[in-house]
Amino acid sequence: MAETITQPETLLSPEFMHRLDRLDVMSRKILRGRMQGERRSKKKGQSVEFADYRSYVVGDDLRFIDWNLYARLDKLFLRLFMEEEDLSVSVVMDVTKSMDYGDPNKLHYAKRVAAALGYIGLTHYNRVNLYTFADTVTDMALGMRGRRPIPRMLSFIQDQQPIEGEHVSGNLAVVCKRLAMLQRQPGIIVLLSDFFDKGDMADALRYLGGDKHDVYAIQLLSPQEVDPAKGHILGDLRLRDIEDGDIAEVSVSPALIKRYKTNLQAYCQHVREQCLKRGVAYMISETDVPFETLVLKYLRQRGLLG
Amino acid sequence: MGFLSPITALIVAGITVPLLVSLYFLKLRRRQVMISSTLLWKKAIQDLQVNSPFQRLRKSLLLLLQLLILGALLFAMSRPTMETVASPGQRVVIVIDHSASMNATDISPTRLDEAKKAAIELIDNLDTTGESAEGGALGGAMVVSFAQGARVRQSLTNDPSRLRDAVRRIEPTDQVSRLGPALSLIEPYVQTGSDDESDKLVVYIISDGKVQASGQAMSLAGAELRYIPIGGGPGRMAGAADPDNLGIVSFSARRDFDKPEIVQVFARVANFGSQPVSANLRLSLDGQVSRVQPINLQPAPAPDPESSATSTKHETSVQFDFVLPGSALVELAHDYDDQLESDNTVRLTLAPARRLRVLMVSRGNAFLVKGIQSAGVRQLSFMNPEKYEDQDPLSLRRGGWEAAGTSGLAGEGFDVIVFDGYSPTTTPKVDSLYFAASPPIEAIQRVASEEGDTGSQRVLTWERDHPLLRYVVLDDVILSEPGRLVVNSQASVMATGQSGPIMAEVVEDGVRHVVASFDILKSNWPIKISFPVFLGNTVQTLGLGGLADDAGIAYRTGDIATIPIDTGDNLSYTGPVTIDVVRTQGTTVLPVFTRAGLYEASQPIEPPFDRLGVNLLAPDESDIRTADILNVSSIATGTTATTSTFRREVWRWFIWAALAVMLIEWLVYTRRMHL
Repeated sequence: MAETITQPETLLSPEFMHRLDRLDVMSRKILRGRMQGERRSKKKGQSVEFADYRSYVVGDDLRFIDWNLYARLDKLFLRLFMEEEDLSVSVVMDVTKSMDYGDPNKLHYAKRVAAALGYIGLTHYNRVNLYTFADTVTDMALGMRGRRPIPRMLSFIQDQQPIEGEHVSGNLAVVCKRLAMLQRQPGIIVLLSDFFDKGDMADALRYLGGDKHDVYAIQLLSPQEVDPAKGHILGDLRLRDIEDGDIAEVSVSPALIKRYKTNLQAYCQHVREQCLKRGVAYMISETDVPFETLVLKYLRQRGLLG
Repeated sequence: MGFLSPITALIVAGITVPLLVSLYFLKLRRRQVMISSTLLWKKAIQDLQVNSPFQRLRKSLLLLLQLLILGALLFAMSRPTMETVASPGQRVVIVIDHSASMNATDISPTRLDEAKKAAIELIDNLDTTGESAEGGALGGAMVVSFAQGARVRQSLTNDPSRLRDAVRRIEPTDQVSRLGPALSLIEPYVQTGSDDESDKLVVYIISDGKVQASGQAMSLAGAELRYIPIGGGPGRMAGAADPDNLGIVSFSARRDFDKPEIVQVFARVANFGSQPVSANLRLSLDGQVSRVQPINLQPAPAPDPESSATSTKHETSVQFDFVLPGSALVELAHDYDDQLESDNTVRLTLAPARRLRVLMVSRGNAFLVKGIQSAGVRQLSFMNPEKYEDQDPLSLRRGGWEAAGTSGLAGEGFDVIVFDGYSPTTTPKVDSLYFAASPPIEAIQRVASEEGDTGSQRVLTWERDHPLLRYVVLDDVILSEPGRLVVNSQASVMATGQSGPIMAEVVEDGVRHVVASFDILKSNWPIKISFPVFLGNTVQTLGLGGLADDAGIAYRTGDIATIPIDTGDNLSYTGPVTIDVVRTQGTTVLPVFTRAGLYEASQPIEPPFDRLGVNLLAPDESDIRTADILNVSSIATGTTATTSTFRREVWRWFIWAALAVMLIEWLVYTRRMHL
């Protein structure tokens, strides 16, 4: 069955999907689901897992009365079972032009991560929502559940292109605000972006913070961004911002490179701090880290997958 | 160093330097690179600019080079000057020696090049602005070159470029150097000068001091002479190597008188270096090595002007004997690697063994017959005047004349005709000797002694240097009825008696006529030693064209060669230089030889004139040790001279420097563009 849904082979290989089958999306919080799923809920319900007893009140379903206890104690007790609910998994992917950069390409890398997370979510009957954003939320695929929408999900991801247009630059605050409005149901939100946002990061994360959502922020950086020498950024250059066309004229010297690296580190630290402050799980990955390693190892270490 | 207009340059610098720097920033060609975000870069630049505002300049080699160019141009604009030693505004004559010894390589590349360099330096230092240090106008400078002769290369001018061109045009020669003609050329300029100090003529003689004084004191009164010695030796200049030269200084070949096929070659080789020399002498005949002889020579003794005694250990004579009846090119060379090339090889063309054919037109003169026979003639024929008049004059030269009634071998042409007491009615076409007779030409006419004038005469004077009168003593010759000669300006008088010229010669239409007005039978000359000597000289010279002594033909540089045979038109000789010959009156005259070497005729002509060997053979030139003192005007001209200084503008240097840096900048720029 898995073979039939691997049309966009560049995203997920059948072997990899087979390995993903064993994983599930984990939440650090127990969140309220909408439909019955495979996840234990705070609510008591109709699963096979025993939770507790309570005294019978009139009107309770007689099928759940523990007759053995009644025999022993001559009191009516009702057996309560764990309720299993579905989990809402939202993967939010940055499709600004800045993502279409680097070798390996950041956008392609993000697509693969999104596909993997979506696949895991769907195979475990979670409610999977996909969002893409640039200056605002640009596209979405909502309410996918079960294995059937896997091809749809993969082709949705595959079809995503960096948003062209003059001065279309990422605006995380607008995006987060819109997401908060769209994603009313509690669940896991995974943000895939390079977080090169010229706006206020703290302001943006404010909308997603709180107990309602379990938010993961995965910052993707290309090796050329981490070490400009790999991108042949040397000599007298006119650096043009791929998103907003902003120009920076530089004479790249070893001192400047050193300064740039320091700034990059500081910026990543800033993003991390803002995430932590808002209870957002943060992790960073370079795109030259094999995608399989990221999914199978790092995301499991971070507790997103289990 | 000083500056003539520093303010202007400073003002321009104040404007242009900031302009250049700002233009650099504006015009810097940057490669455009797309990046994901300029966020971090901008911050990095800001940080760095705060830390080091000149970060942009740090690596900009191009800007640095541009600033250098601008700096050099600004320097040039400020008109920098340097104090330079130079003559103050007089007229200057630069005399450059381009003789054989100036080709010595003890200074790289040659002494002549060094001399030219010194001359150009001198010209550069001339104040050509028209005003001397004393305020007087510069009278100009001229360039004279000398070797065997002297030549004005550039007359007085104030244009340094023409002077420099003139100096550069001086070509090397292999001639001897004679300073006399150069001083004679300069002399008129001295005489026009006045006593005024500023109009004084300063003569710079750039030479190695090997100038032939030929015993005469050279003088140039009124001029200030300065000698700039070039080359190694006692007056050695910096950078010159020890003089080291092994030269062949004399070379001749002679055929045996009795057996003309036996040839003797003589040569003298001298070492003029300061080290003992071992070398091999190699004699080649027509390019084939015939003999090799090793020689060992001691170093030359230090030249001592006081004593004329020379050591013989530094030179040696060699002799080679071989049998060769025909013509050949004889070449002698040594294999020692020395500093002067032109005296390492000498060559001559050996003439085929032959003797002269002489016709005697006479009614009988036993003394004359004996005398001519003793002169080494191969064939002596006799004709009486009547028989002679029957002959075609040209056949006597070319052969094919009517032989009946004559004795001796008939048919071949004659080299010399001797007329004894008979004046021919037509001018002979062969070189002729006349006794008591004269040719029918205007230049020389004989006037017989008047009747009754029986007094004996002696010879008053004669040209002792004349080739025909070499070793001829006429003191004791008594002539009876000698008559006299009436000569015009074309003829040259050889001897004069009491009544007038009695011997003269003239060359007309390429034919040489030697006329004696007296009858030898009416004199005591036939019994004097000088008579056969004179006949020998005359017959050999007339018959062999002055090549009587030597069996081979060789010339020295500076000689003018005359080819006594009828050559065709468009003849030229190719050798170290190409020589086009000039034909005048049946004789072919070659211009002065400037370079030593072998010259070959462009068309086949009769040997030995098909190949002409031109040699240096001048011990004075082979001795390449530079003289430290030049004896001119009987006052030794040393190397010291009073000089004055003046400020010379050197802005051209900075322009050149700017151009050089511009070239470097271009290279750097293209290198960057291609990287």
